[in-house]
Amino acid sequence: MYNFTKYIEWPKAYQTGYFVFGIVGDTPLYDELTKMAQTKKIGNQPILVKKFSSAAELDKCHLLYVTKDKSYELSSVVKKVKSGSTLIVTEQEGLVDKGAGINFVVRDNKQKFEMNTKSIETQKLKVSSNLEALAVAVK
Amino acid sequence: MKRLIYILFLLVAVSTTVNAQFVQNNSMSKAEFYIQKAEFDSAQKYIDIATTQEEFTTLAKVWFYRSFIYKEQYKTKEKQELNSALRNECATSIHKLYKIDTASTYLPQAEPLVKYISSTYYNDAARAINNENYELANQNFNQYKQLQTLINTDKNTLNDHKIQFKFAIATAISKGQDKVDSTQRHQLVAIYKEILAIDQNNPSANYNLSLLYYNEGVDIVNNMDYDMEFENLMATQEKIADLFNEALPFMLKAYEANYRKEDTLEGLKNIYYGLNDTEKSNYYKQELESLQK
Repeated sequence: MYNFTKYIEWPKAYQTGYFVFGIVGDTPLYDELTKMAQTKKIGNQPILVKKFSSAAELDKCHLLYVTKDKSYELSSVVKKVKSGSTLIVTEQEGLVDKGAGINFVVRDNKQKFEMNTKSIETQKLKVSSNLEALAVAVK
Repeated sequence: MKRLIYILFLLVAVSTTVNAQFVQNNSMSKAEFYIQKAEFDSAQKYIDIATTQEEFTTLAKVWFYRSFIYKEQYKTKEKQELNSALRNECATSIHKLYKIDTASTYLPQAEPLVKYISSTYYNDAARAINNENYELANQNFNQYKQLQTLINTDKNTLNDHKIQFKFAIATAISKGQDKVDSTQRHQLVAIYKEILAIDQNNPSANYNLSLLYYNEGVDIVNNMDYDMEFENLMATQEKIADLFNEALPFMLKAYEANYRKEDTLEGLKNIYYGLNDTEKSNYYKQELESLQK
């Protein structure tokens, strides 16, 4: 997820203050990101990790990770962040077609990702072609 | 003067006759003579000459004597040496004897000698393990095995000994720790593969080999840097998945053998998790939880 931020450009308004990683649901990733936030920055922006239990609680995020268990919330999440510039990352087959910008999938026991450039651009984000080249599928 | 010459002639003649009575004028006979006198330095000297002479080199007797002489020399001079040249010469002579004595003339007499020498190799293989000289331990064990083969020791017994020996080396290398460095890991992988080549269902070897692959993958994960470039990240992920895939069949075999049930269930749960197979990971997790209730 940290790597994705190197290939995506957020609008000017999102390039100051904290870079916010949001997580919907419970995942060990929260602790990992929090640990990482102590030593890393995104560009010049310090990292802040936020955890949400549902789409209703969401506020401004740069990157929002929806756990598998909360995949059913995706449509609400998409509606909630529609007006902002949030990269939505999911991990459930098919969600790349339902509003996720990046979706983790397992291929041959390895974690890969697919992306939907249209969804990403709708959020006013610019995505590098290098990232597209690394995806297993681009929609 | 005539009398003096006669006396001198007589003395020379007598001396030659006396010598001839003790030692005939060939190296083989001289070696035999010195064996009887238990003078093994001289016996060694003459038997070594005999083995290079065309008329003796193909005689089983020569190699039987040489085996015996070198055994005695080893016992006297190098019994404490883990890598004794005298003993190796003894072993070489034994092999030569068994090769050429097709009529088995000397083999019944040689058998106790073979048993004795092979047992010293076995004991010194164990001592070499304690000294952490694994190469020498392997050499000694191989000598033991080759000698035992000559006296028709049961193949299964030899295999059991080999497996025990390999486990002893593995324990010495790992010092009972799960955490090993890369060199130790390679040594241990080779050892467990050798054991599995003898007994493919050996539960302990299967479990330990699986654990080595799995832990190597986990070590890579734990040492990954957040700044790793995406291309490297993908390549590293491939490597980790390959290691988990290597680990899987061995852990499954250990599990099927009911070996350390809780540990193998924990292992399968984690391996499948690492392979992103949540369904199977959960299956073994549940089995583990019900076992722990």
